[in-house]
Amino acid sequence: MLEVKGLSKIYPARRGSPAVTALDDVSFTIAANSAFGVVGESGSGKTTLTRCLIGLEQPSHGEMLFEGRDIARLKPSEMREMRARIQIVFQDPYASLNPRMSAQDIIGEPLLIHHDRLQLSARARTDRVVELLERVGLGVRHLHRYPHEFSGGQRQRIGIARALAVKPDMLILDEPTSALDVSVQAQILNLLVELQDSLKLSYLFISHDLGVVRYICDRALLLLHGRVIEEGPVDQVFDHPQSDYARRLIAAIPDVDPTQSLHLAR
Amino acid sequence: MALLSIENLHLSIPSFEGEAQILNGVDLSVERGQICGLVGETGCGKSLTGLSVSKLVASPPARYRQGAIRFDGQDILGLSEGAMRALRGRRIGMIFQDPTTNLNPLFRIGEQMVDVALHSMGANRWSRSALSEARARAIAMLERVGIQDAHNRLDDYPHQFSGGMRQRVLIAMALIGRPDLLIADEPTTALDVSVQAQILQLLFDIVREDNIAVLLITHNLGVVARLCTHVAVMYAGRIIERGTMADVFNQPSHPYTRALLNAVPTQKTRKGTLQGLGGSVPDPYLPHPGCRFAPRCAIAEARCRDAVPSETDLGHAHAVACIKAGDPA
Repeated sequence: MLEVKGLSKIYPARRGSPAVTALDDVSFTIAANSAFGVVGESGSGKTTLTRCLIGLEQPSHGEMLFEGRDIARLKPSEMREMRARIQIVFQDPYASLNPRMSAQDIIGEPLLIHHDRLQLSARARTDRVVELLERVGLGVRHLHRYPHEFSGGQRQRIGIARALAVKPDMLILDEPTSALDVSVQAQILNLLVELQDSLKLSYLFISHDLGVVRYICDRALLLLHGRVIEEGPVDQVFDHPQSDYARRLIAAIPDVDPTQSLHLAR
Repeated sequence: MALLSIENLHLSIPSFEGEAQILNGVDLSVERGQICGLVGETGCGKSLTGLSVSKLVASPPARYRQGAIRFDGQDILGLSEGAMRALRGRRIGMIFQDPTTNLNPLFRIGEQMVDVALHSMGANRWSRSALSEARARAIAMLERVGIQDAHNRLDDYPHQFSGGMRQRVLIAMALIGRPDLLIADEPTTALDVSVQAQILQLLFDIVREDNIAVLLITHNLGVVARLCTHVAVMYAGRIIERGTMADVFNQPSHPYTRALLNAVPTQKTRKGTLQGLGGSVPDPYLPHPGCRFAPRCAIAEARCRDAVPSETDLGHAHAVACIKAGDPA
């Protein structure tokens, strides 16, 4: 579905600051209907990667082939079409919903933006919004509510419904649960698993929570300073990492396991 | 006697919608050498419990209707603001979640640390000798929290430090007065996992070397498993289960504790089998009778809605507030 080959992004040197290589020869493939995890610490290039994929940055080198066509070389009109195929869910459900728009307006906005392709009447748009609300576990009664009337988990459901509105094939999920409580995170993760199954979606799942990546994803890659350190099926990456960095990172994750207690280490 | 003991603490805050019942009988004690994790969902009262210990909840408008907080035998709630200022920073240290907003961006790190050091020494800036002593303490403390080249870095501004380094500076600041009790509210939430691991190790070493008591407020159960000796699980303003970390994690006895532990994906969790916890924390304005968790509880019965369950002692300081705790499973 998506094939990234030798992707690099270099921010050129400016007065006083040297050039920054944010992505360095990154390659990976995401198969249709699979979930692919991207793991890395701050500054590892996760955000630059997503910005390139949705066309907010031009890569310096390399290709990003979505069904064989390079995203970076699309004409603006083709890019609009592409954006309907790849949608994004943001990290912070408190910041990514406009507080002055109702749930109906938020979820319906992509339908308006892509109106020339979708050709939905106002009535059909409302029906679609209601269908989406029900899809993500909300309902008609939430149609006219505003973001402040929703809890964090419900807001993230609205963010997911908005991303699903234009029937994309792929979702980029940028830390979709890191702002949520574990109890709510579990609900959202299960919703994502269920949606992937029923809508045959592909996910690019960005996270620093390896437990979550392992739960959701089939394959994962680990970034460090813009380079791919590990890539493979999640079991292999997490259970048999090849690099020292990966081993150290995995050891640093606090598991909910009393035997990991520092008080037991002597 | 425990260094910190909170007894039956009730806190309510009036607002336009009525009186919000924030804390409803918190019982908790922390001794020297213990790291007590206070866990629970957003809005259950964890942070306000921590702020109450250092008396940082403005009262009025907040009201402590019942209960007491005893720190080394003194009743915190009865102390004047002046007496409290003498405790804060000297005997009670605090670390908050966000290292970017808790340092003043306009002042050099050294200046901010020296201020705290002088306060803990009971001195002011006009004394040359006190000033150089405070500076020496600041350098020693920064070195202790792992900041290299500390005496040069004192003249740097907060933006010249990374997030992890800023959190180290805040920890150094909290420890500079050699407190007996440290309250850490989500100290690693904003940090990367490898930096988090270093900060947890640092807190662990400090507790072991200085024999201080720590109240660690977090929603990350992995952090609790790694660092804490004890854990208290909070729900709707009450501690619903407490005990040693190993007891609570190995034999969680309250359905809420079990639900929280089951919601975290681990190595063994198969895709699609994660158990979420439906519903949300109860409305603090309209407390319903009986167990506050009953509406979300998988095993609740009619009798759960009659009265607030009292604590059942399970032995080894493991206690649970659930009327079904004694029942055969």
